[in-house]
Amino acid sequence: MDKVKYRKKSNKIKGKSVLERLLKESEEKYRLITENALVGIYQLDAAGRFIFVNKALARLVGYQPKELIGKHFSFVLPPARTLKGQEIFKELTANGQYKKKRAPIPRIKESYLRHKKGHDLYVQYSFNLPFKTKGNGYLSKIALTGTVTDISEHKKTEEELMIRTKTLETLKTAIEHEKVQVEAILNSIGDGVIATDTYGRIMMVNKTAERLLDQTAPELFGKSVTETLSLFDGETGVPLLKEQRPLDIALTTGRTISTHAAEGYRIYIGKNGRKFPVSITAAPVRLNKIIIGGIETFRDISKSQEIDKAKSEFVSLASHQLRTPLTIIGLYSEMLKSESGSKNLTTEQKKYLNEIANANKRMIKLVDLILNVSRIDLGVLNVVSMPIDFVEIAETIWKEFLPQIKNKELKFEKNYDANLPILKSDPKLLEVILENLVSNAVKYTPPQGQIELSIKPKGQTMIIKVSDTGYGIPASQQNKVFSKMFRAENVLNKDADGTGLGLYMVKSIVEKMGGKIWFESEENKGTSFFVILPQIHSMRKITYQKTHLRYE
Amino acid sequence: MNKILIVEDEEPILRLLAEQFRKNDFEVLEAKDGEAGLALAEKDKPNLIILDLFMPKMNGATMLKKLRESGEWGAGVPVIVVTNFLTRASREEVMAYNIASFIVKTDLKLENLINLVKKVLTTS
Repeated sequence: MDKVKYRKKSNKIKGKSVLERLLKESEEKYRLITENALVGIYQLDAAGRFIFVNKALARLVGYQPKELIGKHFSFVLPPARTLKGQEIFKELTANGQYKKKRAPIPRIKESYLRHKKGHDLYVQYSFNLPFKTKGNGYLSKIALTGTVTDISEHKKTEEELMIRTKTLETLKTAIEHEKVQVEAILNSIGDGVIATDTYGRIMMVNKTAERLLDQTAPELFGKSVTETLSLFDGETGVPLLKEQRPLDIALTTGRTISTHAAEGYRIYIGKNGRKFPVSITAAPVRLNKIIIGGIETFRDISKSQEIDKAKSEFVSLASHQLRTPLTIIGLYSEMLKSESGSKNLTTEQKKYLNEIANANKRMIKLVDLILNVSRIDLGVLNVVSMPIDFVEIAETIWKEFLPQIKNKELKFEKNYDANLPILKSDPKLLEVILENLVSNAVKYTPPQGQIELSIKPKGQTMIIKVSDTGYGIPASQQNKVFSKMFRAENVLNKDADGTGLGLYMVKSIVEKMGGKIWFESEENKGTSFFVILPQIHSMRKITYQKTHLRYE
Repeated sequence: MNKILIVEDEEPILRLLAEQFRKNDFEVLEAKDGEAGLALAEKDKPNLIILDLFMPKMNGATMLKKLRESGEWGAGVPVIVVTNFLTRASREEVMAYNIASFIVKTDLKLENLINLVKKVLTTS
């Protein structure tokens, strides 16, 4: 009986220890899993305190598991999140432990955790209610359980992606905005605009170009400018070769090419056959120093050509009308001054007559000056080219000023190079240049001063120098010397005669002839003007081969 | 041999030129526009013509063109243009018709003109 009892008892004990062993094994198994899991695992009691934290979770927030046990979960939340965290916790645990047998599907949320060092981590956490258990053991204490995964890196990547997407969207909007703006600008300007790729194929044309060329953008798209749009030389009417066309030059050389109305215009022909003169600017489009296309803008200049023509006709008419009475005064003064005409005049009358004749000469000069200036302003100043003896012209000018030179007892030094070649240039314009420079030197040099006129060839150019020991140009006003109507302050009371047009005109003429003018000056020391002229200027092709053009 | 025609619309200039050439033993024909000038030239065949450009009825350039195309005499008679009409176009236009000289009126000196006419007449 006892034996049986014992057996029963020992069986009971034996069964208990097996159970204990199994339990221990199971516990060990789960402990190992939870403690060594890479994912953070937590268990909270009903008050929200940690009753279990695995190594992974503790490490995540910078603590040892034992440091967290017993702490409220808000200990690892950023302070700003605490309230919200407690609300959620209350809501989740409101119904106590989970009642049904079937395991609920864990739910997932995202939140921030505060690391021991103060920085925040973005985490994804799952939470679940435990099964309801009887008694008051460990299991009954669990109010909430779940896992925590650090997704800060993931979040960062996501945020970066968002920022990038947003930036791209902003850029896209900006580009679209710009495109609309550019199109609006292009379509509102009065010049034709053609944009091409590097091969000169049309990528875009604006409304004005469509209208002038009488072709639509879709018709022109992708076609070669050179092959589709005929371009002619305005003066000769000869079609321009590919290598002569501004856009082709711009694309091959990378330079910006401009054709101005004054230097020969071009003619485009619309699809409807309408020819119209244009001034063209063609420029390469560069991206990182590489030419990626070209832009040609062209302006219909037919209207402005008409206006220019009308203006220049007016100028020449006015020139004729003004000169005629001056010619008559000049001729009759000459008659009176001649031997037979002046024999009955008293000395006093002869003096008066001289004044009239001199004033008339001045008037003729003024008219010439004003007409030349208006021609320059209109861009219709004519430059001719013919073989001329430079020294002869210089001598004529010098002789013209001889009376004043003698009057002021000036020392006039002439330095002409012995090997001065006969050069091709415009005699009238050379006269104007020399006359103005010498006239200024004579006018603005005090008595007994010194003037030097030197003419020397240098390579393919000719250098004229007119220097004096005169009043000089004040340093503060030197930048205005070539401006229209400018007169230096220090000579205003010395000579009331000047117009302020002379040097403006000289500079324009010199530049028109393809030369350059500059000066060096010091107040009360003197001034030197330098002119450099190409021996054969390149502006106009017209040449008078017959030398019967004489200036009497 | 000393018969010249002056075509000039400005009365005072025409009168003065005619007077001075006559004083220098020239026979002078006068016309005040291109039309009259052309008619007189073809009728009296002067040895030289002094021609203005800017004139009423027919301008000097047109008269010169018609003269040069009128026949052997018209093509060869020396012409000196004396004008204040100074556009490049007008200059080029008359240059094409073989003129003896082109003088700007405001630069004109009577003495020089008379000498030039004498020189042209002896060389042509």
